[in-house]
Amino acid sequence: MKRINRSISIAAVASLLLLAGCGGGNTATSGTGSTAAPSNSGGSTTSAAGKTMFLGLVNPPILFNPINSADVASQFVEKFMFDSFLEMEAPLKFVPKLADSFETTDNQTFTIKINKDAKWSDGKPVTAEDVAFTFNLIANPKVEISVGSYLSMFEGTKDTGKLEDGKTELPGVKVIDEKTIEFKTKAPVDPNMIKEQLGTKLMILPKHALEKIDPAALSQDPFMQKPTVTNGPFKFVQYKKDQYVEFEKNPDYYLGAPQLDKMFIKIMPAPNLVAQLQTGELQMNIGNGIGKIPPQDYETVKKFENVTTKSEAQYGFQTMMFNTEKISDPRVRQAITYALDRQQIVDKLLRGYGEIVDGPYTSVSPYLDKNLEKYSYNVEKAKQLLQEAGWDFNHELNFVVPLGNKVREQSADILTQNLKAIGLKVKVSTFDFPTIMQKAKAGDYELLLMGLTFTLDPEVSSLYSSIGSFNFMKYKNPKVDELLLKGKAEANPDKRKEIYNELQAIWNQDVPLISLYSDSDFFAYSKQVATGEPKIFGFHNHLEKWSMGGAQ
Amino acid sequence: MFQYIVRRLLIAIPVLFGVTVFSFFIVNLAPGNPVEMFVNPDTTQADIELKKEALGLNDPIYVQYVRWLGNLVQGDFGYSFSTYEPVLNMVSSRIGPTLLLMGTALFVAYLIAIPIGVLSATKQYSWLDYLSTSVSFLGISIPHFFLGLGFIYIFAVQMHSLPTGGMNTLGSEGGFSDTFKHLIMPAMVLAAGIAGRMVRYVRSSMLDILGQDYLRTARSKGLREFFVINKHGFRNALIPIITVIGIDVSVLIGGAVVTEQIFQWPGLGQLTIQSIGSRDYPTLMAINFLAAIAVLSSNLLADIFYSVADPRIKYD
Repeated sequence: MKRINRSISIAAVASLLLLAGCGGGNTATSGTGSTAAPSNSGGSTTSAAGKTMFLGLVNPPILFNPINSADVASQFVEKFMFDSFLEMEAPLKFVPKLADSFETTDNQTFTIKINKDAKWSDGKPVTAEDVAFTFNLIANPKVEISVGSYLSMFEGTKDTGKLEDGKTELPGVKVIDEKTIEFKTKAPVDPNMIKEQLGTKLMILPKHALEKIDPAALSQDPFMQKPTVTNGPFKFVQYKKDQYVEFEKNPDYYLGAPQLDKMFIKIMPAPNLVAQLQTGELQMNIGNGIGKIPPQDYETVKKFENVTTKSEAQYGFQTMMFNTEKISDPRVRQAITYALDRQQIVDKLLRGYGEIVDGPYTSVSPYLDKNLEKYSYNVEKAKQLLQEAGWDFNHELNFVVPLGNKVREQSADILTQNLKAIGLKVKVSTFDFPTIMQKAKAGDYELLLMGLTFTLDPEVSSLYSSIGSFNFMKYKNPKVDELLLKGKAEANPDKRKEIYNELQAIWNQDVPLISLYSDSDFFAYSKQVATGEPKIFGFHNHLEKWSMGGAQ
Repeated sequence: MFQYIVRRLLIAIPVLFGVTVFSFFIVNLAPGNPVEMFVNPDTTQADIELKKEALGLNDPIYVQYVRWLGNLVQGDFGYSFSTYEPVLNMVSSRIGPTLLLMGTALFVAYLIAIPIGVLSATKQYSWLDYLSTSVSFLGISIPHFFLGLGFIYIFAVQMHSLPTGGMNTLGSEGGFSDTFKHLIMPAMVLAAGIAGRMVRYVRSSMLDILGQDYLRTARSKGLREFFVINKHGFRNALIPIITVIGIDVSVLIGGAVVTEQIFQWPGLGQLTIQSIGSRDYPTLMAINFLAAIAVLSSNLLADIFYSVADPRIKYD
């Protein structure tokens, strides 16, 4: 099974490489006619011109259950038909959407007022009851969900975010009136944390459509594949698996009827994004880590005359994790960090479109401590630290690399060279993602590459806490555990920043993992698009205003 | 003959059973599991445990197998571990596109390859023979992804005459001619490889026959060369060709992974890869089961056609 899978992956990677080559060849001729509006081939846009938009996505969404979608692609697509309370337009800058207001006076009791005109696509109003229903579903011990951490600070839940067995209602959630709901947390928290998670990520479900379904069977209900009652600017028409998701406008949308009649999200391998942007079969790529133009093709796309391009920094990042039980001396981990030529990865593989960060916060995070000393590329220092630590140079390091992200796979080659340059022996093995997760959990590795995307909020307990579900490093530092709890419970943003600065200093010394790079996201959008553009922050804000310019 | 078919069908039952046991355990042996790979920072350990319990992953593997088999006997393939959709819906929605693509590819390939193979053998060492053997060699050796991407570059990006992928033009009415346009490139890519192989099989099989005494007899009794070749010659050359067709057809149902991915053709191959990638056991089992049935039935059909082609072959 593994071998089949691997050979297929190899074929897929090879095909990507090849298209990259094709892409390169296009540049010379791209001015001749490929930039014209699509002819009969991609003829889709000509007939319905001006009213239909095609967006390109790489990762296929899996299901449309807003409380049980663990993959980014599903969550992203859901937001075309389900509205969140707020949108984040820029780091920690929140604007109202489904909620007119989302406020707290004491950082513990929060009040959400829902837009008075908001209604479901079947005409029923969106009410506080729907919100309470959704919260209670998430906390219900029988309901399969993937967003349990949203409610872990709610009054009445266990640390797992679930209610005690047999209970179905959160005691801290109160419906004040039809459009107002109040909820209470166990202790005061930074409102930005709540606003980001519950405000911008959570989508609520229609109570009247789902209340009769047995909560234990909710995840299998057809609604979760084909949502029929939604509240966003677009309504779900169909999802042709691996091909496209089709949306039509919701003419009764409470922020105004959308300008577009239809929206298609097409699913394709990344190199095909490039071809279809060029032929005009796509109006934009989605980016956001799930619809990215390959870095080696970005220069090609930039030369297309029919699209506008841009790159943006994002908050996902790639790491090398150390198994701290097997590489227990922090000096060895520091030595390896000094040995890594991360600038080469950014220059060669990312073509300069990326940044080097040491910890879990990238430059878009307000919590990044910019004064902290960074690890430079220093081979001498690395060798010296290894000598000091008395490293056994005959020991072969078990370096585990996941398949599926081409740049990361290529970076493994550079990293291996770097490690060998300081005299380390390295054995590289690559696996598909489920295998990686098993090895990571079991600690069956010494060095491991893994990409991570957290929220903008600095809360990263799941990664560094000794009981964190992402702590594959087996990292245990009581001081860190204590500070992480303190940081999560601190409501004052300035004091929080101090706590997280202190944490970053400790991680810088302990190096349970080292961030390798954060790659910029690439966006391209057609000049046919009059309003709307792909972006990292607030992509889904005011989709109803998106429109096509028609002639081009 | 009838008895023979019934006997073969009865033998198929234990074979199918064996296939399910074997593949169930192999599928479950693959490292990783369907739940843990879907963790993200919003998911708690409790969420994961709940899912494992709900999907029955905490039970011993033989319990899971017996439960799966019990459901299967009642015609229930279960629901997908990743999309929560009934597996039967997922698989059946892929069969149509797969059959359309593979059927077209096989049909076109045979239509081209068989006459060329016969001609190539009768005119051995002519320029036509050299041309067809070298072109067919090219067809066999060009990887699908290479040919596919080349086609996209030429016909879609440069000439704008065919769509880059998918099965229908989105937002249009669709219809037969639209699907046909989408079908051309992937079908041609697949047909190239199949035809290449077929030309060589037909050619060598015909060459064997052409030296036989009974062809000389046919000629000596004054039969026209056309009938000598196509009636007496080709019919006898059919046996090895039927074997190859039988194999091709059984591969058909599995879909063509690489070609489907390049052209975003929504066939079984794509579903298989995704199901492996997400360790979606019920979906994988259903696909395995389907593939097993396809292999068994195409073998049986090939055996039946042997006796049609050559009455000397009798089953009783």
